[in-house]
Amino acid sequence: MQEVFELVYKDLKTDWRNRYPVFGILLYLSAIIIISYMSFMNFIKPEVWNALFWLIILFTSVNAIAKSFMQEENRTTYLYFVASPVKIIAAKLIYSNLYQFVLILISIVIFSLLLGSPGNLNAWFFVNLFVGSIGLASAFTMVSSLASKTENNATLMAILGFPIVIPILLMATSISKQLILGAPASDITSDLLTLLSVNVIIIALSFILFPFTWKS
Amino acid sequence: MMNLLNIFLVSFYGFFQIPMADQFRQDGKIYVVVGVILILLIGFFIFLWRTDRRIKKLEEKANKQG
Amino acid sequence: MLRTEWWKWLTMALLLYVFVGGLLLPVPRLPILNETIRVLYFHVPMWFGMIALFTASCIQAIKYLSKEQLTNDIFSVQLAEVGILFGILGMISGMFWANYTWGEPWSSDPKQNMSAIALLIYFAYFVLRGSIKDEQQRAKISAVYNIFAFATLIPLLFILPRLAEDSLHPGNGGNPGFNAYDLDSQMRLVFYPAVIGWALLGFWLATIKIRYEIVSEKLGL
Repeated sequence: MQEVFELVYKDLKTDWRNRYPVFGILLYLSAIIIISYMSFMNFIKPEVWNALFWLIILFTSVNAIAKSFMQEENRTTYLYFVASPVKIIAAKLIYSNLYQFVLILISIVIFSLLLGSPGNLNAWFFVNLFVGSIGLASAFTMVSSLASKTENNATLMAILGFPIVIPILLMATSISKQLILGAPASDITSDLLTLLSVNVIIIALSFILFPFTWKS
Repeated sequence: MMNLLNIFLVSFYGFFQIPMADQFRQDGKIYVVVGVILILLIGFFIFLWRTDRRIKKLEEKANKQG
Repeated sequence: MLRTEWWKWLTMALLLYVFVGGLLLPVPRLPILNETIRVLYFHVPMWFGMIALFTASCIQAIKYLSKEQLTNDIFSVQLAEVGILFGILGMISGMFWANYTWGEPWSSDPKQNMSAIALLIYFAYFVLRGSIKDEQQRAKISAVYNIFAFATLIPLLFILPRLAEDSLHPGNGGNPGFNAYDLDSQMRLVFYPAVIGWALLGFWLATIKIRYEIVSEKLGL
């Protein structure tokens, strides 16, 4: 456990030291939000707000997490001897989830500042946001480990990742649409459980499959 | 039994006049369609079977070499 | 299993029966569908065949990861390729049929969406394979992706029907005119053999491709 936290801390330190990737993502995030604000300025309905919001999260997430294994290339050999693959994937999952969560918080602030709030943003909306973001971040972390082994990894990140996150995205978007339109919490609990179980599948598979990709 | 069921269905749905290719079947032309499809299908199967054979021969050859 | 003959005879017999029986045996008289209900024997088995082939491909990927035999990798790839063929054929034939019966080629139906996603996944699988040069590495990484992606496909089977409240396919609400064949024992007599026959045809094609790959590897082609 100690080692896992050290690995997380190492990632945090690297990102803090060369801030360009982080600032790059923040700029990317603001740019798409401003573009969607300009294109949807006067006719945004709650359903559209919701779909747009999740799409922005999807694109931010795929770009932010793509780096999680690609930056490792020079250090992989070092890490290979130091830590076991299970610990590495645990650390990466924790770090990309934290990173993603910060990004989502920033994006919801900017997004609702520009495009307004659609109404019912209650606690359940944020619970769903949190659960959905865990799914996205974990799936993309695993895909990033695969894509980093290839030659054109930026494109592959998207084409490998998008089909995989479709179940998560569909569930999360539909739950958050229901919540925005004012559904009570009892309506969404079973959907939320489905979403949670998809997350469990993805995280469990990451732990099972990651050692194979790491060794190769 | 099958025919009885069919007659029942026809008279039952008769009110709505659901068109099927009844005349076409009565004329026996459906057998032309079935015949053509059978010829094509059997042709493809023979082709597939021969391909299968050819690969088998190659496999035997490869096993002798190896 | 690759070289036994009996199931190939079974495939041919089943498909011959399906084509003759599918055209000649009586079917329920339903509005809108009319005679096109017979398409069921030819289009729907494509979907089942695709799922069966992708499942087999995923199983071979698991075997590859546990044994690291390149043969399993060949199995996995070729099964996925034939699965894609079935998926594309099923999708095109389904869109053609739907255009005449449902009024539009694409109507956001769960099974349509599911096969679209499955095709996306396996196309991505082939792009992934194309971008890794080392043979062992390619086999390993793509096996991992195959398993990972297939596992996320399974929840979709439950999620998609729930999201689409008015599915056009039978069994998940909507389209009452079409639900009747669910219960029609007459159609089952052809439909079940059709599913098995078409799936077996898919495996036959895959085994021919697999054996070809293995032999050409051996002969150094």
